[in-house]
Amino acid sequence: MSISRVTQTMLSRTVLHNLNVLAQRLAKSQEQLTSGYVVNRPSDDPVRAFQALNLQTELANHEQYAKNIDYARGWVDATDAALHRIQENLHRIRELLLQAANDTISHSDRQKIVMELEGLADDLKTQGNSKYQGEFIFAGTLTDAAPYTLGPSDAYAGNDTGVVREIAPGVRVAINQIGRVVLGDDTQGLLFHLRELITHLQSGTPADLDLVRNQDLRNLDADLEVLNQARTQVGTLQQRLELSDFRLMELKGSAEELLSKIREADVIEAYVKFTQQKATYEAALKTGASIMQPSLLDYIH
Amino acid sequence: MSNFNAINVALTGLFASQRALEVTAQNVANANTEGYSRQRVVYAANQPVPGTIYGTHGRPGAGVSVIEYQRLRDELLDRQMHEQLAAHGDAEARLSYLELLEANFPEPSDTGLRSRLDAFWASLQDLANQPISSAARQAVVDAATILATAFRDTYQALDHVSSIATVELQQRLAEVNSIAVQIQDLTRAIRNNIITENSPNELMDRRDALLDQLAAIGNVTVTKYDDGNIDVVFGGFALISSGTAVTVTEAGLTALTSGKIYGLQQVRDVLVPDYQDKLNQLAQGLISVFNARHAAGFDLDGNPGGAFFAGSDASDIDVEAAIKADPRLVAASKDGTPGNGENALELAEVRDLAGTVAGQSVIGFYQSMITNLGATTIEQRNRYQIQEVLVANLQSRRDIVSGVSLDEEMANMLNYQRAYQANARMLTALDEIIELIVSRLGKVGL
Repeated sequence: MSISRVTQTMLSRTVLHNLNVLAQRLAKSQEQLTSGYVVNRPSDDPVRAFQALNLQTELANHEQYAKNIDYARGWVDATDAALHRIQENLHRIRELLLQAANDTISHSDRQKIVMELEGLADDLKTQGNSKYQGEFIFAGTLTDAAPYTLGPSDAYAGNDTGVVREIAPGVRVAINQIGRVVLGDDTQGLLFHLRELITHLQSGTPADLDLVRNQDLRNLDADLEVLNQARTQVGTLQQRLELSDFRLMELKGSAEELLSKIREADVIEAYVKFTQQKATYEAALKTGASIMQPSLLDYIH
Repeated sequence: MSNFNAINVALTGLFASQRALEVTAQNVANANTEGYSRQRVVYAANQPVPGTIYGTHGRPGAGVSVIEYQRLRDELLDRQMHEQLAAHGDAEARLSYLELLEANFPEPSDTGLRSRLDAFWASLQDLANQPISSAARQAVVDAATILATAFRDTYQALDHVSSIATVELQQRLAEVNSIAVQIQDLTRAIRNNIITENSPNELMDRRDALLDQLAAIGNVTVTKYDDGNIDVVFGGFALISSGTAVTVTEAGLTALTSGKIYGLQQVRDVLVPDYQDKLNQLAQGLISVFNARHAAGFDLDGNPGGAFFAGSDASDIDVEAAIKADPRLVAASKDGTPGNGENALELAEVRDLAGTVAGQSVIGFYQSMITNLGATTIEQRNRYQIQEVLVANLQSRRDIVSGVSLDEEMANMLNYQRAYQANARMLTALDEIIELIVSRLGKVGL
């Protein structure tokens, strides 16, 4: 554009327009500095906004899975503690069995042992009724009711279904041990074998005592094996959860870092930019003032 | 030679300089008046009075007269300006409403739909952790209610944006009609001035300023006639024919292609409905897939799940009243046992399930929607900024032609002042000559 005439309004308009543009840039920098964010709305940078949305959801996922894992760990730890107690009881039962199987022991002493064994049966079922945060952990998915009742009946009121938790997207694990498997009921397993043992000891006939020494002991050892397996499973699960938790923390850390990189303003950079823009703005103001003032008027008298 | 004639000639010069100084004064006075076009005095030398009584060469010219106060204005520039002002108005309207629209999607933040969706998802995961916990069930219902409310609020906020645009559109139409009447009145005055040989310049400036205002509101075609008359076609509607204004309504704008009103129409008819439609798709996808999965599960009492979400789209989505009243009805279980939370996990999956909304997942569709909104806003902002520059450029070019340069006016002032002084000196000289003739001639020896 060849400019033949330069007019008053043109000068002021140009100065004003440029000042406006500079002031807008300054306001943008100021917003970034005061909010601490580069992306305050989608149009500030759609790509970054998209990444930020993605990362925010990812972070929400990590937080939730950390919660899920925490919860699962609590459950599994409670299971482990109960199993440990059951194991100890089983050891005690085995000790009592060996004592009672001795032919030299008196009938009344054997009855004392029977009484202790009956007490242990109740204690086993109490362990089987362990709860974590209001849920019965050995009842399969019928977690709202106790699987065992104390006393003579050993019936199992739970089911054999796994309690499933999600510990990572799409990764679901069963976190429970089934009461029927680790403790048995009135037809099988530890409780059943314990009742058999008690019956045999109560009768105390040589044939029954023979059964105690052979069949009952074998049965209890098999039950101990089942318990050991269950504890190994629980231990493995504990490790797996711990590892997942650790990995999740790492993922969360890197997602947080990335999010802050994408979304937050680099304060030093933003401040330097702000200072530069402020200097430019002031320079423009000064130039504007000195361009707009003089005219021929100043020089003719 | 007649001295008296020369006095007349000098007098015309004196008057001419005076007129010119007046015009200079007018220019200087209006140096900062928006829409003012600088004026210039056009002189012409007067023809000599016919007759040759003094000799064979006849008379010299009879001085000078002002034939016109010329108004410096480029009509071609005006036409370009009208086009660019319309495009500017269009971009401005769209941008300002897009920014309003954008404010209803506060992302990335912890208050937008994204965080509501994620919170709902998390509440379902929590429920899977504790399927029999009534607190966890209540939390799911609460999170779902908040999500549904966020959908409805956003949808209504968009309705509100649309209705503000409609109100502004009506206001702009009223403005158009008011401008048309003003142009009509000015045109009458201009024609009168032209007939009575008065300068119509200032009236024309005002009319051109009004035409600029009009052009920003909608695309105009202006035809001006020498007698001061004007035709204005506004958005395909003959707004002013032969200087008479006709009231326009929105229905009359059959060929509206640009300007603020066009931008507002686009906001009301395209932009807002487009995002409302996207919200609806999102809500519809969520409702149908979520409800289907919910129906496949079992509630805490082992009964099959009913519908979880009520409503059909973003405008009326809500949590079913029955579920609100009794969170036990949330179907978290996959097999009917209370401790099973796997259906809650299936429900949580809906957020990330591809194919839920237009081939995408709920969260994916929302993310694309936000990215799209940001990109659209940027596009309009760029368009607006380009229009700003184009209009500023045209304004500068108009200033080159029509603007007042104080330096130039000062130089002119000196010129005319000197001319006035010279003419006055001429009168003095002639006066002295006449005085010589009248007072001293024939007084020899007295």
